[in-house]
Amino acid sequence: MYLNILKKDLKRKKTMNIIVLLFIILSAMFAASSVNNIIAVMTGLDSYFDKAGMTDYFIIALDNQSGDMEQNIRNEKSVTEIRKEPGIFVDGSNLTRGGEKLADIAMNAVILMPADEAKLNYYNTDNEKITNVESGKAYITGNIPNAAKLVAGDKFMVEIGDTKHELEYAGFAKDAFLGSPFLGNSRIIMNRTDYDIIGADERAKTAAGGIYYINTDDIPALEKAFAGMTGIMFDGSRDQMKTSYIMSVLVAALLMIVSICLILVAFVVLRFTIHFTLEEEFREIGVMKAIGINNGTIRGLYLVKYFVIAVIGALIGFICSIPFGNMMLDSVSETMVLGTDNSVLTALLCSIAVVGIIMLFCWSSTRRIKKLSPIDAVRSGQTGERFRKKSIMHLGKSRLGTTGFLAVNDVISSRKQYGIITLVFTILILLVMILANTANTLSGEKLLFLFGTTRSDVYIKLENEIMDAVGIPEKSDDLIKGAIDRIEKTLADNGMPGEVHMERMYQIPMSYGNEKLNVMFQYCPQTNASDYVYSEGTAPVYDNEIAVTTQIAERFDAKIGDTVTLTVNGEERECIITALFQSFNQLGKIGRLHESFDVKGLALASSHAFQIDFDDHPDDAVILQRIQKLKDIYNTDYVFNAAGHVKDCTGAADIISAVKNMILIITLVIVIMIAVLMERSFISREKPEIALMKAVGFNNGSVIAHHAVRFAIVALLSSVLAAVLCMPLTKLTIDPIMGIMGAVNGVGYDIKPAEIFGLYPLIIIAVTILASALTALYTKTIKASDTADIE
Amino acid sequence: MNTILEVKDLCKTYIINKRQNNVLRNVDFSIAEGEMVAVMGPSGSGKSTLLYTVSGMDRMTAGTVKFCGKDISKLKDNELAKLRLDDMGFIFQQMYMLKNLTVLDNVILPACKTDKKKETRSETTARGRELMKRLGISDIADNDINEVSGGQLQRACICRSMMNDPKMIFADEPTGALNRTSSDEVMEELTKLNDGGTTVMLVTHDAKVAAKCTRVLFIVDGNIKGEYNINKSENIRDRERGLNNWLMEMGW
Repeated sequence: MYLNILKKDLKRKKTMNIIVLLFIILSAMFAASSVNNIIAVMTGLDSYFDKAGMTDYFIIALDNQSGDMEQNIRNEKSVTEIRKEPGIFVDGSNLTRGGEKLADIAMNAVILMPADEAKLNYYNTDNEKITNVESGKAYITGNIPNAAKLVAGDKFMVEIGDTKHELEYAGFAKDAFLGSPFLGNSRIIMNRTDYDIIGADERAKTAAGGIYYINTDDIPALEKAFAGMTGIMFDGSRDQMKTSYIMSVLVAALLMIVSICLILVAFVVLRFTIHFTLEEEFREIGVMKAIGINNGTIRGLYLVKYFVIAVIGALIGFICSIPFGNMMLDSVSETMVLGTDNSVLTALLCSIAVVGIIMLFCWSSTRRIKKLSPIDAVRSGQTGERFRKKSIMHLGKSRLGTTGFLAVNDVISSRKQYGIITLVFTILILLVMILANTANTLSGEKLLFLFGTTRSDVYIKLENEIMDAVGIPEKSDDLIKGAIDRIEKTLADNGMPGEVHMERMYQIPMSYGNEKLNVMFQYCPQTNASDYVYSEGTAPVYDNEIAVTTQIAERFDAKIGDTVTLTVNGEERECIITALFQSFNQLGKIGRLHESFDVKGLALASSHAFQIDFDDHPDDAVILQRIQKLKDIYNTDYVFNAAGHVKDCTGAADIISAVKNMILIITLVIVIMIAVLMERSFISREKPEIALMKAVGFNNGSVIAHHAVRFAIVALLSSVLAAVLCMPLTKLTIDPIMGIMGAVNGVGYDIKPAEIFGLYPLIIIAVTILASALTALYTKTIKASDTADIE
Repeated sequence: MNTILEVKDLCKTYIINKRQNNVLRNVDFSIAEGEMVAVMGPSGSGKSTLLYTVSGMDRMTAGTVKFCGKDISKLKDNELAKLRLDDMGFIFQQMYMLKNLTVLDNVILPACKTDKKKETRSETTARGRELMKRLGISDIADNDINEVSGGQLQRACICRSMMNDPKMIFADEPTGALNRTSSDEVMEELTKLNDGGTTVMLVTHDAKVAAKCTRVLFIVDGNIKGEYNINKSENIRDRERGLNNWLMEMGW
């Protein structure tokens, strides 16, 4: 009999059972994929660094400038292991395709290296380790493949000195050390034969150097030891390298927030659906009780039924979670190897947990069976003794149309039911809004101050103009002035005169107390130190005054008013810290020199874009026209307005935008599923009422409108709630991430009202109405005469 | 008197599991304005199906049904809905109402939906309250539907069916779920309505209920086997006795 009741139930309540099954599939899929993603993101960078073989400390040095660097490193007592990866340091101009520059990669260095001497593990796009590179082929890391739109099989030329050597692009490689979107330096990993051919050129020999991977038990000691050592192009710790992935981590962290929300959505919906469907069973529970079946048997019957559905749903959800989770991870791990080795096991455990949670829900929902008398159960658990009125609104006093009134009244009367749907919709809309705010902020002017630049009309990156300045320290100041003069002349010749300046970066050893460290300083003689934004103190006024970021001040345990020592060309200069500021540059570990600081003889470590301020103060439209003109004149794509410059500097706006679009699609799919499944279950539950409405003269259109308007109200409420919560939640979730990047005091977010408060809510509302209205078409099958079937 | 409902060769067939079930077979009858007709018959004879089919709540398989001269088989769904809203009233055995509305809101719902009467919401509400007062249930107007008794609820259903001043009221076992006292009260109201000129067609198993009508149609296996005219001038006991005798003759 037990089995017969079950079989009959599964068959007769097909619709509701299918709805429960679909929600269980969704829950299992979200839970399994999201937990995997959370684990992957939380452990992501460390596990990737470990997989790649990253060490505690790194040094990049040219062989002809650094003497016996390897020996110098070995001399340090704290060093426990050292590995050297040889390479030839070139730039974008050394790579061509069909006689043209292969890619416009601005001022990023490119490292040519032999695969057989790789001291890190490099991975292809399928996250498989690259163990061998065929002769004539090369894997490329960093930003070149994207910039050059390379596809496997494309040929390109390495030109250095008198040597021209053709290579075939074998595919993209993930480089844990230099391949983050923030650094974007490319390596060309080739076969030993090809490397030797290129390396034999005299010019290549002068550009030869190495990357030293160092393991140590005392990083501060190493930092101190190498501060000011000549020939070092770059040195940094594993933690510093981790922060260079901050944009990937930001995207991954967003994914984690998305995953948590999806789990929340899944369980809220599941709890609701199970409770909802069990309520439907009360009448039958009453009948069974009345004929003498004991509580345990009745409860067991429903537990077995939901267990069967839960197992089937969780199994399908588990299978779907693997491609779904991979799709989400792939969107954020272009430059990282994310994902756990135990993802299938985790997904399986999560699916089992979903079954367990469903059974807990059922156990708690069926608890009432024990308490109910047979007649209470027949009355669906309602005794008629209710002290709180269900109806708050009154048709007679309402100015709403009948359909509108019924819809609003239903939502108000069934607050728990619609409240849960509103909560779920709100979470989903908020997800899209937060991601959109983040993407807009990362590509808007509001973050300009965090890159240590003043606002200019145009920002242009011209690597050829400053490459010589990097190589010849003693002439760098004159060379930069020359470059600025040339650009100003070009502007004047082309009818758009303006002033040009450029932020320069100098690495200067700084000491305070017992601490000594190479600190990157920003400097621009054409602007005033007071033109920049400081979070504390006052801008430097004299050449012996500097500003540093909060992170640097904390690192040295220095405060405003303290005097630090800068070592410039062997000469020690005492400078007073007058201000603290926030910066994304060098991940917040940076300082600013006063414009009168003497930088003669200092090697230019790097530079920002040339900034142009037109004399005629043109409007935005004219600026955009001039940007296009400058792109043509200089044959480069790296010409931006202020917002474009921020977008280029952050480098993550596009990825976040892509994630946002993916989340928008996922959100719409979930909204459609919830609207369809909930509406279908409402129809199933309200069949007698629908029949009654038809019997008293409501036509099909009115009934469909009544149902669709209820969901429209929910979507509208959710949109309003999401709009109210949007800003505080954006700050709450994104500020900590911005803090890690350097903006410790938070940032102002770039909110685009039309997009955030108009477009997304409208899309969600429209989709909800469409989904619920289409589902409500099913009410057409309910006839007025079905009123007679009311039990 | 004018014919309000004219039924000719009415057939209704259901196909269940590929098996044809002819519920109504060439039913012919008519109801004149002001009549109060009861449909009686054994369970499964097609009484309710007949009521729902002639009132346009369900589609017929064949035949014609003319309501106030209009062939309802030719009306579209929306036209049928309007006809039910403006010209027909319905009372069901289960006193079903929309559970999120108060009793009064349920009563005035059809009046708020129709454009037949040009009145404001407050006028509609006042009319609803007045109607409920007439039926002795004004004290439950603002109650939720699960806070009132079955008899009160059924009287509220009668109020709802009357809100748009229908030409005809269709009632499917209106007293079926009520005790004798409530049943008598409900029938008294229906009789008053009929006395006021509203045509009533009701389905019932109860001879006491049917005895309050003017005519009884007896249906067996989807066919009307006979009809019995009741003399309303006789006292109720005589009417019941006469009807019972006739029903026994019909094999009840």
